[in-house]
Amino acid sequence: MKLSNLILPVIALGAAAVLLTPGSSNGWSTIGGSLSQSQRDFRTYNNFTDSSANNNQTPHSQFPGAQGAVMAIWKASVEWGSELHGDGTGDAHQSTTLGSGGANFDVSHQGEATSVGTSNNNIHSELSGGSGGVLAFTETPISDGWRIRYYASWTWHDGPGTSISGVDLQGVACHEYGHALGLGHSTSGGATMAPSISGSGVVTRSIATDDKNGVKAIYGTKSASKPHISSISTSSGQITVTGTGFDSSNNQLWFTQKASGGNGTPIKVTGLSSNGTTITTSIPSAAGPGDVLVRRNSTAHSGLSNSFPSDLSGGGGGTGGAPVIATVSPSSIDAVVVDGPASITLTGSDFTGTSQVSVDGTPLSIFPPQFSIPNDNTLVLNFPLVSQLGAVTIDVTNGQGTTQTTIQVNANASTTVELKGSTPAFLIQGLGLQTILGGQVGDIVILTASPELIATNLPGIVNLAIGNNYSSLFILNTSVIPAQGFVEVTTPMAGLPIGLTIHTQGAGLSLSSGFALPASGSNVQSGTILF
Amino acid sequence: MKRLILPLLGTAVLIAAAVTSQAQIERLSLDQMVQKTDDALYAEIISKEVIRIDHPTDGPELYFTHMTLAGKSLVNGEDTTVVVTFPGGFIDDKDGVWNSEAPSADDTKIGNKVVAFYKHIDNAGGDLECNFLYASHGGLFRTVDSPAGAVVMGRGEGYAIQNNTRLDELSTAITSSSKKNDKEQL
Repeated sequence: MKLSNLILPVIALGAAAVLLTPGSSNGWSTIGGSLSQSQRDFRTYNNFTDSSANNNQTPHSQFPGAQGAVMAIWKASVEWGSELHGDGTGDAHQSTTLGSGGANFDVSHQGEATSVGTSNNNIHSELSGGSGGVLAFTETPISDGWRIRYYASWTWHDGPGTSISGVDLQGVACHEYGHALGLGHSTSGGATMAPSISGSGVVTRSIATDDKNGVKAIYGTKSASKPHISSISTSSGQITVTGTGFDSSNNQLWFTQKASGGNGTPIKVTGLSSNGTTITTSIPSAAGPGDVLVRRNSTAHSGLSNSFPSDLSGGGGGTGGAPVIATVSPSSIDAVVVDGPASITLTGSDFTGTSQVSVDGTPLSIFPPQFSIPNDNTLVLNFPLVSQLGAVTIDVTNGQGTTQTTIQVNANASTTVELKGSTPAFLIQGLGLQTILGGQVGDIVILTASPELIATNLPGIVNLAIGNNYSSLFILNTSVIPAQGFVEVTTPMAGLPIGLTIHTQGAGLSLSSGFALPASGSNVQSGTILF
Repeated sequence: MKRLILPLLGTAVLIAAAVTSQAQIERLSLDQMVQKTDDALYAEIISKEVIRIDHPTDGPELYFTHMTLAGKSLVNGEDTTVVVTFPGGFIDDKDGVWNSEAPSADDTKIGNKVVAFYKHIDNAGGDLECNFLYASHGGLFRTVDSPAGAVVMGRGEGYAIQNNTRLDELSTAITSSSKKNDKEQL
């Protein structure tokens, strides 16, 4: 046989081999069409019934304002984005590379929907029933939008870890959103768009080269002219977006809606001018924590920037309005808190820019700080002694107004002693031994002290943990608990040696029991004389 | 020699096309598919109907395709006619949805001879009780007739029938798997 006779068959067989190579870069397919700029929104109707679908309640800076299923679906969607979402963090499966598409495609997180919506409202939600081998599906055509449903028969998990005992919502959402943006199933086994999953599906959180090739084929490889957001700063109700590729005029800023519901259309500020690298404008009142995008003066796929997360904190609050207080935790508190002060957490929004927090009408000090604002949605305050029991007011004030809430203050159920100052207590001779005694209103409290943490027992009369059987027990004060639920007692300490540890304990006689003996011993508080 | 080029290239393309005609569903082996379903049919699609459900909690615009299959059970050999259902479909040109996990329109043409796996479920969404085409597109396989009998078209990796398989061989495998499962249940 002539060698030349072998050439063509070999070439042909080679071509077949190439076509049959697993994991071919052409494994992706399309369903026809693409999402126009007006269809880049997505919302989640959080009707997921599995508790595991919503047990991730840990906030993440790159996904502000979202938790549980809403956060998982947000992560899934931005993986298809043109570049890293913010700093690319938020997913344990791909620690710093979330946002991998590389195409002229980015999405606008629009928070929560209040219903399932129609088949073109761009909403993710759970669908009752199932058990027929289908995990989830996407309804198209996408020319006017889409809808994604997750069958309730599966046990959905919101992560954020990668050890999932049921089905990973983020992974499946990433697959389904691939359909929504125009991809069909892929023959590439490692692709997110492969038709079937085994196991939890965590691996499909991260799109593969084949998926990237698919989204690039539909939307084009990320254009050099595509707007790019590199950072966002906010202050006094203003936002400044910094990046590249902004037009000189007619730019738009797209925000995530603050409230649930809506129709998916981003909150927009239009007609914005730029020097090419910065855009500054007021934060709209309807905008909330989420993603910000820049749309330059173009409806092309390349006219929309990457989606960049921001909690919109920094002056004026997220809305430019007065603070909004949603919850107070704990909602009730004892008048005297051992090793206090107690920490009270307010959640809501627009706490950034808070200028004053008052409790029971008295402003908390700014320095040393008696309150802090970890983020726009959280305010933490040290709860002071207050002048009354019952509902006590907390007022939070920013530049736009004051919002008031209340907390329930209860009398301590039994005799309680608290040493004022640090914990553990260090005592200063010049200030005296500063104690706070709590108990039920009308109870009699006898304040005792001793340098010895050795018990004093007189059966039927009193049992104390200090005083070494009266040999070193001192009675400092006898008080009746007043209507405010506590009494403050200061005892001079002049002449006591530095370094001495003093133990204090109350002995209580209850009004409700007719001051019957024995007196009940309270907790013990100890302090060391520092100077 | 030139006469060999086109057949060889054509063969390559055909083999590749068979592999690339795959279609997120549950990944099942044939054994698992038989275990999870009520029956497997070799049947002809004799009719199709698309219905719409507007449900108070599951939402509006829920479309399902009912497909009537007439043929023979590959589990027990009995003649069977059954209506199987999958999500998605169009009532007319404008009223309906494509469903990402549904079998293609080409695969569900009336007159097609198919192998279908189904399971009766109480609720396919919208409180629809039906014989669900298991794994939707992943439960439907087209067949072609050949001189050696019907051949079931495999759909590649991730599907219960991965490779093209003679129907009699598939039938034997399903019957065997079904009996094994019966023993496991005993």
